[in-house]
Amino acid sequence: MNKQYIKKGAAVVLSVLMTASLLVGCRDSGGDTPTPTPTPADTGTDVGNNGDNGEEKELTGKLSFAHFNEHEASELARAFMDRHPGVEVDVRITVRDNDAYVTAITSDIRSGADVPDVFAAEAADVKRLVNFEGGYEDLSAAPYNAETFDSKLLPFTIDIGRSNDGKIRALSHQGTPAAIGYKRTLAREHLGTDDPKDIAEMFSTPERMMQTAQTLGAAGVNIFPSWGELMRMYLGARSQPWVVDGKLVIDDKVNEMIDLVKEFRDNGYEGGMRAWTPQWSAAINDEENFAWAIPTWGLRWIIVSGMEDEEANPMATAGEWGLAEAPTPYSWGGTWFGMYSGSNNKELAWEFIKFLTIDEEQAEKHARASGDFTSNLAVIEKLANDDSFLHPLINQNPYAFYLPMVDSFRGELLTQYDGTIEDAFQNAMDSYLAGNLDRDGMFRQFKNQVKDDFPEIDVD
Amino acid sequence: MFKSVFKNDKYAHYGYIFILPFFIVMAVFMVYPILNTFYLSLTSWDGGVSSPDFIGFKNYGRVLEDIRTGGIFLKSIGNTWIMWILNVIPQFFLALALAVLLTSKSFKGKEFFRAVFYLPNLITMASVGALFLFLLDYPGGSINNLLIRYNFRDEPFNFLQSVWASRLSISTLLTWMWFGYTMIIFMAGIKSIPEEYFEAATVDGASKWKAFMNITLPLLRPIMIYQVVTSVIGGLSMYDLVQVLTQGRGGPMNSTTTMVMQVYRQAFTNNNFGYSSALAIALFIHIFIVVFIAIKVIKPHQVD
Repeated sequence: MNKQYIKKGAAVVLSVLMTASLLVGCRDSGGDTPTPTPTPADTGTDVGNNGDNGEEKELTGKLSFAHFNEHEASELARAFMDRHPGVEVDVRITVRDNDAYVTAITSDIRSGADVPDVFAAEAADVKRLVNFEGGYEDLSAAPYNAETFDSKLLPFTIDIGRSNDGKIRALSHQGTPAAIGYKRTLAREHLGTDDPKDIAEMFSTPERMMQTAQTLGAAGVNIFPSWGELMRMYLGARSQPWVVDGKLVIDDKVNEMIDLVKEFRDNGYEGGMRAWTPQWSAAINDEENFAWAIPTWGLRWIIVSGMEDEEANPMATAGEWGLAEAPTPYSWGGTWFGMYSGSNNKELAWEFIKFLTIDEEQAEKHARASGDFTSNLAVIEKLANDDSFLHPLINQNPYAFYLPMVDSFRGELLTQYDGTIEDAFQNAMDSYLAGNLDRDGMFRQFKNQVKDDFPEIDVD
Repeated sequence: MFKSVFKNDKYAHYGYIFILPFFIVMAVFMVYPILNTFYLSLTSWDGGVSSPDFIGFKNYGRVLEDIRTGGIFLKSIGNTWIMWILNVIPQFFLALALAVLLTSKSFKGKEFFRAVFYLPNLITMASVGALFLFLLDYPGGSINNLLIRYNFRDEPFNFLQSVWASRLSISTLLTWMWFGYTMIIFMAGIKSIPEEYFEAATVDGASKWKAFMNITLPLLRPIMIYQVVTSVIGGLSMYDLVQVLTQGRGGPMNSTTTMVMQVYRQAFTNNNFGYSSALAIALFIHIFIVVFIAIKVIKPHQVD
């Protein structure tokens, strides 16, 4: 009898264990990670205004931080941990390819489980994420009061981090004005000068750009490796965003660009590559492609990282590249940081975001080490006036160069639809340039795709 | 029911305990998601934290409107069928020919070839997609470089910007990845045919070709039906290879967008979970009808 009970008991225990083992992979949905730091939610203390100059608090605890660029994220996390040895930042990386990063973050928010305390947003995704319900915390409200930061950070970066209801939800540590980066050797050889002012003049109008392309083309050099370079310059120089009052808008600049790009392609003046492909990066090293759209971060992430042996490459320090102003100042990219509205760790998360943005010491250190263009106004001012601060790659002071452009940018140019709309536009353009569609067919294809993706947008 | 089971066999109820894990997993991971998808298809939901809004059959109206006006979903149905057919016909011919060859007694080294032909099936689809994205790149991809170096072409060819070249590339990759698997299934089928039939045919003076046409092919029919049905189900849910190879674009001009890609895009890129769920249900009905017809038309139970 006893034996039978034991058998029965064993069978039940075993089957329960077997069943349970099948569910082992399921995630813990509690979202109840123990946090050593108290929440600031109802303490009423104003932690918003003592960022960089208040007395240094000793912070402790563990912070999860999601990003899409491992190199950048671990550098920022390391800097924060060095400043506050009691803090541990757990960096979680998901790449942006195939929209994987936004998918991962939004799935986390939806399930409410294990959402990172702080998560980054790239320019193409930032409007989607700041408007994603239940995602980023409202930083305009107390105790953060980020509205007061407009005297500390580039105002257009603050505007981009606003959700559609006008609340600040994410802040950026970068300003991302952009220009034309070119190879000085090729400029001297084929254009007779490598002076940034002369080169800027050669790119100043569509007509001048066409003449320059002809001169380079005659020497077997492509003016750009991909038409994407022109797309960046022109999209960043539009006067209206893609969507105004729920209606798809095709700005005059877009039409101007389409004609110019088509002429380049038909004459074989651009390389026909697609941006971010391996050959596009490899072309940084060759003598057949002349210029790239280079935002502030592009010095490092487009030029230097495209070089063989990367930073050990003598080209990276030889002043072999130049920066010339684009026909219209434009901006491209950037990374914003905000905290999860349901985080149990908001005080520490806020300290981290302040550290990345308004902390002058960190901003300057990061700018000097990485060559990045900070959004911190005091540091911009300081570095722009520091004649000894030359970027080894271009032999120019990037702050002095980019600074005059930053006033012309407006945050309203970005919408939550940008990533998808630009993708649809590029696909249609690629087919047009390959000769599979005519101009009207290209617009039809583009608009149909937008209509299918966002039925709420009015497309004529 | 339990009573009768217990009456006949006092241990029978253990059977229920043993199959319980399977049913729990099936309920959690298959039945619940299917029912939930159906519920979501009747709602408008952007994937945020607030609950979905019930909107009735509006999403299905949009699916029908898409099909009526020749929209992207209708196109994706056509694309999926075209790429599946272009893949499955050569795949079956190749697999059948190799299966016959590798089951013939006189062929040496069949174990080696069987393993080699099966190998492509072991690589994950996404890796193959990423690899060929690199190889087919324009203008400086490896395949273009080879074509130019050996004078097959004067100028690079933009594979992924040509409607048929991109579809054929995908079908060829699918054929390459799956012919080994199909071959092994066919080999098993051929081996299960009694040897006596072939001996009798030889005694009657039948040629090898005649024996193949009159013995191997008819007796292999049930296996082929099984293969067609599983391949249709797999083919109509084609996704990973195309997603990676076209970088989620289904280009050029949506000519390689598959049904599942459209379901994924609507849900995760556009945060339109309601419409995406309606597409998923449409996809389910589509596969169900196709398999139903396939089984009815071929009538597997009459084969023997």
